[in-house]
Amino acid sequence: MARLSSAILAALLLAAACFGAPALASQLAGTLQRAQDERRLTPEEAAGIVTEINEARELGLPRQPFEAKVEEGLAKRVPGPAIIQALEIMRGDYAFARDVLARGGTGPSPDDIAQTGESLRLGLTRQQLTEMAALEPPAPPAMLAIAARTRAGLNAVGFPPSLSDGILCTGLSAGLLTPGWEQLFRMVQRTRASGVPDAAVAAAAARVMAEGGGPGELLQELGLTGRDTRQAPGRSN
Amino acid sequence: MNTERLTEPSKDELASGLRRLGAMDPGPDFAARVMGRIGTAAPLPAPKRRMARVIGWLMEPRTIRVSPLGSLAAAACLLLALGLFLKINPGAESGRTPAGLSPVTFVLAAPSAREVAVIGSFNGWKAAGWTMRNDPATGLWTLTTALPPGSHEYVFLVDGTTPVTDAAAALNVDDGFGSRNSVLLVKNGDGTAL
Repeated sequence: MARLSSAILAALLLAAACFGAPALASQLAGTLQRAQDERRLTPEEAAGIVTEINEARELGLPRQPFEAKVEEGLAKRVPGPAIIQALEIMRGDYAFARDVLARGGTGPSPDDIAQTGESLRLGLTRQQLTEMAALEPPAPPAMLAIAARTRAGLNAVGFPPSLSDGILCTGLSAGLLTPGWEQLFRMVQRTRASGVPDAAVAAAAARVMAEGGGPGELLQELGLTGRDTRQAPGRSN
Repeated sequence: MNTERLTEPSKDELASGLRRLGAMDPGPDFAARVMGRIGTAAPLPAPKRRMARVIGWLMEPRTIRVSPLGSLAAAACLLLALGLFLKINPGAESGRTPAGLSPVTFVLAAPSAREVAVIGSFNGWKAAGWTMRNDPATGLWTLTTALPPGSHEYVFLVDGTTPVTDAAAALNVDDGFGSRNSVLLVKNGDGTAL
């Protein structure tokens, strides 16, 4: 009984330790095979997808976002060539992001690379990312990734670039850009609905950041509450 | 009788008694007397039905001996199974929001749809377990779940094939395929989105 129990426990521990990467790879393999079985992908297209993922891996880029993009494309019935093209663009964005993040001398984490790479898809330009990374003193990769997401959100809602520059320069220089600032674009949407000019929001944000405050303090500064910024009832919360 | 405990005289008495029995005359009505006693005896209980025997076996308390290592292995199996179950069924509705997650309700007006699911970055873009409920009276499809804080991209998948963005989303962004994803922001703590 003791020997059997030992064997079971060892098998469980081994399965738990091995559950990560091999399981992920086998999941994608299964997804690609099913897509071929359902004639949504040709064998050549499936091979092309695998090639793109392998090239990303060889560049040292995080693998999971690429596999997730494949899952997304297949779930949406996107044609194989379009998935391959999306992966190629993604590989370029992630590699650029990694190189920019690493300029400060500290190696970025896979999560930093993914966040910053995704920001390039979500509206951040490469020039804007380069300029933020060039500020002195160099921001750590994690904070630069937050800045990238914040700027992408502001770009997406059409916030004036010069105002965005001011906010993020203040935040990066002070080293006080926390993850909550990524939702600044949402505050901008609500203040606009209340008739508050963008310039006033930018000034308040810079003031709050300089004083070491966070998004909560900015809400108070602008006279908003969490309830004010919640979406309408009956919708996605 | 435990004959090992008998003394020698007792054994002799037993032997002589048995010999005397053989010489005794039981009488002509011996068989009738025996059968008569049998007939007045209480009947043996009828054999139990199979189900009753099974139930009786299940209800009878038993002592199970397990080593500490065995119990640890059993506990590990149980935890792994529970973890897999919770991982596979993240869209399942429950009355209690897991710690660290915030309640979220997705709503889509699609009266002509036969089936709607939510797919997104929070469920690997897989519709299994994320089917929305339909209210025929209003034509609204809803799904309530719990998600971690942060930004999540998603779409509604209508009739298993057609992705549709959420008109009420905070933001709709390029999905990299030439179409759009909706963005959901989930805040810490009280579950409200920013």
